[in-house]
This record gives sequence, structure tokens and C-alpha cells, in this order.
Amino acid sequence: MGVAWNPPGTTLPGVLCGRGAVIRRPSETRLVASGVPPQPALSMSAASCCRHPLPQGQTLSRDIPAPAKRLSLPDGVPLPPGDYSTTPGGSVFGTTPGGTRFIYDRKFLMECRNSPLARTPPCDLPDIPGVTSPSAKELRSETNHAHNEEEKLGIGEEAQFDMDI
Amino acid sequence: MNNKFDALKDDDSGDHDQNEENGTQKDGEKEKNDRDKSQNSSKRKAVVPGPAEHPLQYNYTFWYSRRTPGRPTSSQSYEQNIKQIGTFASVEQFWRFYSHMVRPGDLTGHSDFHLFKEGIKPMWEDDANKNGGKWIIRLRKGLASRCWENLILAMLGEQFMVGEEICGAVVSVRFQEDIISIWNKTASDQATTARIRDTLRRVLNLPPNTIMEYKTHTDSIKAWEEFHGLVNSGGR
Repeated sequence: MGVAWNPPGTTLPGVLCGRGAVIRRPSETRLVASGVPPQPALSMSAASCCRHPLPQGQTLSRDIPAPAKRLSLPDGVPLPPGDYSTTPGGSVFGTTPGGTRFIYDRKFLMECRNSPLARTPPCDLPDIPGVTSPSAKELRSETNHAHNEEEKLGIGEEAQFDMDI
Repeated sequence: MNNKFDALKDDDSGDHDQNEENGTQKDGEKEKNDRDKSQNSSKRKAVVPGPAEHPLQYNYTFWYSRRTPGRPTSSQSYEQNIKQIGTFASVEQFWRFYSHMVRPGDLTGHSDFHLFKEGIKPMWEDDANKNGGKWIIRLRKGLASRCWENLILAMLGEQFMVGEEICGAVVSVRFQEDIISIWNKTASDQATTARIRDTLRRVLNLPPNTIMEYKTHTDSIKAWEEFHGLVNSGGR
């Protein structure tokens, strides 16, 4: 139970529902990736973004949805090539022609929360009373308390937010 | 009405209580301060994904700010009021911070969480923001925590599909309502702002009639300056 990003049974445009990384070309790069067929799921038909057609000659290069390639990687497997530490804060696959984007959907991100790697507090977490809890104890999470909150919010909730129950 | 906050109820989204110095500070100095700050907070070590962690497209920094009671105006620098919580580079590192921070709905007082790409300050005047703007969504009390979580997960997961345009997101806890906003680089890029709006609707499950307001930072600065001029007749 929770807020659904994608209503069941629909494929929303521009959404890459798979877990893990998707290779995309950033806007700045006009290199054509070879051998990667366009993905029908990303075609422009019924795309919400197309309600607002791009002005001619402008920003079309920002989103080139066709040559997306999905990499399926099991949990815990580092993404290739594994040397991203050399480009902190920058394009992670700076050396890959065409570039890469790490795209994760909500479900995948939520699953990562349960990883042991995700549970210990950062060693440099500042202690701000009422805001952070640097102790090992996890603060109550949105996820764990979603049920309570929904109950508390009651009927009025459906009027504003469709819930995926 | 005795301070600028009263005049800015329309735009009370956590970024207007800026200090005079910020507008006049030279870019070079700003960048130097940025570097100093991030070096202090991360002990000169670049934040990178750990082994077996899932890298994010960008590094992000959590910030927290709170309006100091009784001293909301010029003497209190916006930059002094805003604290870096930390920077992360992977999905797992994000959760390590997030799980040890209170939810926005549990914050007290006039507080904000900011989540911005590393190197971009949550300030109008930052180079990445100065030509930008933000989508603003006002939320009745009780919704901020969940909406904030959905918003930042969408941002971290690159769901907005607008290239490099996203700068960061803010949740502002206020007296009677909460406000979430997402900032982008180029306010004049209508294709981008439309796509951000549509993505927001989807990831927050907003009904079509939800009011979403786009505001350029130029307008925010202007509104702040105009009011500040009225109050102090000196202005910036």
C-alpha cells in the first residue's frame, strides 16, 4: 500500500520501470549509439510530454528517448565498468560514448533501503536536535508509518491523492 | 507587518530569507566558499559510491534550515542559518542519511529540508539557479512527509528526464501548510518546465486540478527586494 507512481496496467511515457541502470544519451551528446534499437515504450504516442510540443529547433536534443538500453543487474553487483570513483559528482560513465544515466524507479529505491549498506548512519552525520539522529537507532520512516498516516488522514485523502491499494 | 516574511506568504517556500551579502558577493568568492564548505563537511574527500552500492546519476547534498525565532531579518544570514547535513553518491548512502533524519512532517517551526545536487547551493543566486525557477505545490498539513519522499526519490532516480536541468528540491514546513518545490536551471525552457510539471503530477499522484505554480527566481528576488526596500529603505 502506498502512493503509486504508475497506475497498474499502464505504461507511462518516459518512465523506465525497470530496476537498475538505463543507458541514455545526455542532451549534450549527439553521438549515435549503435546497435541499440528504439524502445517502443518510449515512443511519443500518448506521451504526456507531447501535450506540449517542443518548439521548433529548441530543446529537442534534450531528450532522445529512443536508444535506451536496460541493464538488468542482480542485487549487489556493481555496475560496469566499476571505475566511477574517478568522476565524483560528474557524469559517472564519462568515458562511455553517448553517456549513461542511472535511472531508478521508486520500487527499486525502496528495496535498496533494506540493504545492510543502507542502514548504518553516516559517520559524519551532524547532530541537529530534532532533525537528525546520529545514533545507530533509525528514526521512524515514512514507509513504516504509512499505514498509520493513511488511517489518520481518513476519507479526505482519496479526494486529493489516489492511493494504490 | 514587521518583517519581510509577512509579505512573502505567497512564496514562503524556504528560499527567500536570504542575506544581503549574497547578492553582491563576487562569484569567485562564492565558489571559494562553496569549496571550503564542502571540503569541511566532507573532510576533503570526494563522496563516491561504495563497493556494491548503486550509484546515483549525481551526488546530492542534504541541507536543513530553520528560521531563527525573533531574528528573522538581515542580521541573520541565510547562509548561516542553513546547515549542510551531508552528501551522498549512491542509493544506499542516501538511505543512510534519510533514515536518520526526521520526516518533514515531524519538524517543528519554520523549517526546510533542501536536497540539491552537490555544488549547487539552495540559493537563488547560485550560478546554477540564477536563471532558473521552481514549481511550487502547497500541501495541507499531513501530506508533506510522503510527498517529499516521493519527490526526492523521483529526483534521485532521474525520473524527470530533463537532462541536467534539475537543481534540487525543497520542503518547507510552515504554520498552516507545507510547501514542496523543485528547482530547475532554465526558467525560460518551457518544454522542460512542462515536463517537470507532468512528472510531478505523476510521481506525487496529484489530481489534474491540483494547483501548481511556477515561479522564476528572478521574480522571487524582485519580490524580496521590493519588500525589503519598503521595510529598510536601504535594500540590498
